Amino acid sequence: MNKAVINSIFLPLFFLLVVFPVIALVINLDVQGIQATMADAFFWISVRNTVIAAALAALLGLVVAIGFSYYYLFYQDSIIYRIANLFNDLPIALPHTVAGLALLLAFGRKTCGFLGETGAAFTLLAVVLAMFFVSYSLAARTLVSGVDQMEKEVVDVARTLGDNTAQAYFRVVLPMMGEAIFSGFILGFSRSVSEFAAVIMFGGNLPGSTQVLASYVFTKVEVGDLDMAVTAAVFCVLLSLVIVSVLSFRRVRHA
Amino acid sequence: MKKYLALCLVVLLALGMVGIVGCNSGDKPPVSQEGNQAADDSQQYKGQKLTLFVAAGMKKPMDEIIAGFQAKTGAVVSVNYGPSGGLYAQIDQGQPCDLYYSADWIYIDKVEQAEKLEKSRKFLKDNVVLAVSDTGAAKVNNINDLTKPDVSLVLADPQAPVGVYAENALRALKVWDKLGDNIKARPTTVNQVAIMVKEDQVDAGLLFSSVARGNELKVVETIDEKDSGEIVFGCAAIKGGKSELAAAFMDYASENVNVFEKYGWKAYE
Amino acid sequence: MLKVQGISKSYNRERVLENVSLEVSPEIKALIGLNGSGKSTLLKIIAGIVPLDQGKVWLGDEEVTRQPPEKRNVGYVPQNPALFQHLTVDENIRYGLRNGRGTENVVQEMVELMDLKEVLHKKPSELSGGYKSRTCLARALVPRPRVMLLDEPLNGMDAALKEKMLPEFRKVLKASGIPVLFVTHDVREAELVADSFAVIHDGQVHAVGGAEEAFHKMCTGSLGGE
Repeated sequence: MNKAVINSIFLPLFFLLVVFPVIALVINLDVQGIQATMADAFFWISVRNTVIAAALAALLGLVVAIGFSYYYLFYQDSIIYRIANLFNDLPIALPHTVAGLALLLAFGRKTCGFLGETGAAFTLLAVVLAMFFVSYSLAARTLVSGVDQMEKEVVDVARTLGDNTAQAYFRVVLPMMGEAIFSGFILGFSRSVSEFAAVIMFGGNLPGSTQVLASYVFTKVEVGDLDMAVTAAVFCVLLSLVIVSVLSFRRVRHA
Repeated sequence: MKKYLALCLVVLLALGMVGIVGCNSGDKPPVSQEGNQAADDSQQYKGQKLTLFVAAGMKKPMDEIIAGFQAKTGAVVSVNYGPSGGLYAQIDQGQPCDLYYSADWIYIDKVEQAEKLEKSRKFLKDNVVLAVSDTGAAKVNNINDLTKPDVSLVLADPQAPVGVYAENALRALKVWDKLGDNIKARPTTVNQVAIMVKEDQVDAGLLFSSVARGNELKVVETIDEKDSGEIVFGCAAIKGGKSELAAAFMDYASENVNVFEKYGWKAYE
Repeated sequence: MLKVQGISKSYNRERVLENVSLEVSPEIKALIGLNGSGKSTLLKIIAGIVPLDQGKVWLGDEEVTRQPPEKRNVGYVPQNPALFQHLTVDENIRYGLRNGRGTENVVQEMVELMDLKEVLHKKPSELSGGYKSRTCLARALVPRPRVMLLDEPLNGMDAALKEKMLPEFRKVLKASGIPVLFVTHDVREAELVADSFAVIHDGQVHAVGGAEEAFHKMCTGSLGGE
């Protein structure tokens, strides 16, 4: 075994299966398609909605994940933790349309009629909730992993200095988990940006208000506007690349 | 030793992938054969495989037709259900297909323009209907009621043919501009529209008569085809495919159009 | 006065502490033991960080067995300095003040005593081993704890540095006037810092007369005529 062997297995697989499809997209860019897409107001609105909703969803995911890892760190024997742990990975296991349907039945007008004509459904809030639902697990896992990697003595010392578990958590644990918190946000954001089945079902997919970028691309494919679809898709790729670069940059800085 | 192991891993991986590809391009086991008395002894297409693409909305009747055809001719049908547009895109990209059933004649035209058409046939007609939910029944009795404030409406997104026809109808009936923000959702498939109405998440929805009937929705108005556009479900045998077998299936389906009528379509006259 | 009685603890059915009883008056008592003898666990139990299976703990006249660590007011210096990385030395030392423990005067006193003036504004990652230990000790002493628990606080230091730091530590700890339980596997360390000695072996604690005896008992586990 030497480096040449690893190279000859890893490199072809990586380039073929990961890089090449992206290149295929870029090669198929068409000037007219780009112009048409850039001029389409619905495109820009869907970009704006997607970014805002994904950021809010990721933030919400972080908040809940921070709560979850508090129980993970201090109260693993409690009922709260055990129940939460059981449900933690459930959203990821659900097919996305099912997740969307579940949210619709839970927060649609039959239960939340007081919120509006259609309950919480078919609003930007619904888009945020759907994105949160499918990306929360990632944030939780990241934070739990961050807690695992932390030196526990620090918490012990804080407690002997008078902190109760909550004080120790906010004053000492969270500040030291900066990396994990940031990763949790980025992962939640990326996952939210690429979600569409659950968002369509619960959010409504209305161009100009609740349509997200992923669905925009899909619609363009289906109605045959392939050029515009490719442009929007490449835009998605660029957005993801920016996100990933920011993540790597921060990692390097902290190394 | 480790080198050997790595090589084995790669070979296994490659074989696995070939296996998956092979499995997908083929052989679904034949659909069960109960319920068809007209089994012809001729079995003239025994062992031959027909690759069939069908718009998802036609699944229930089409499953019956496929079972009957397999029993009668001995052929094996491999069916791919999907959205009409998506299926067309696959055909356009060169996916092997012998026969294509579309929920919108516009895609059959596209097959022709792409010069992949062997033979086509207009098969079924459908209408866009206005269906209401339990709550909606009190508010909406016809299309014009959709312009009332506090009415929530759902129709499909343009990527589903029914979304295009529904929008056409609303424009032709001069209602589109008066809807305000009553359109609350435009999901990507007709089935999602049906679910939203059925679960009373909206007051009304515009969808195909066949789908509405299939979901037992209350229909308050049927849209005339002069307003929505003629909704023709058609089929196309693809050039380069098994044309004789495809033609045999087309004929079989047409002979048994009553199965489709049972599910809410009308035969194309 | 620190007193524990009948402490037993098991982890995963493995007995780590077996009926341990110990008393520490206002003095420095060294608890000598090899790694894995249960010494760190005993300290954590006294601090309240780890729950015990059986036994009781007294701080002064008060039984604290059921109290959570934040109520016990013990000073704990763990094996690795465990300084708060995101805070400066100054902020680390005065941490106890946030919970109403200790005063500004005490902080100044500690800074003087441990010679930390030069590094107050620095972050722990910028400190050398010697400064880290001193900061850790200062931080634990500021809240005026009832008892001091040190778990091999000079672990990882080279011998020369240890020889320099130990008398300093002893001076500061004696000045505080409280019971100190100082755990180590290094008999020499114990000699330099402690007033009395005990040995922990296989989860059991025995008092011993002097360092030599301690060393012998620690290695062989023989009880002799106790």
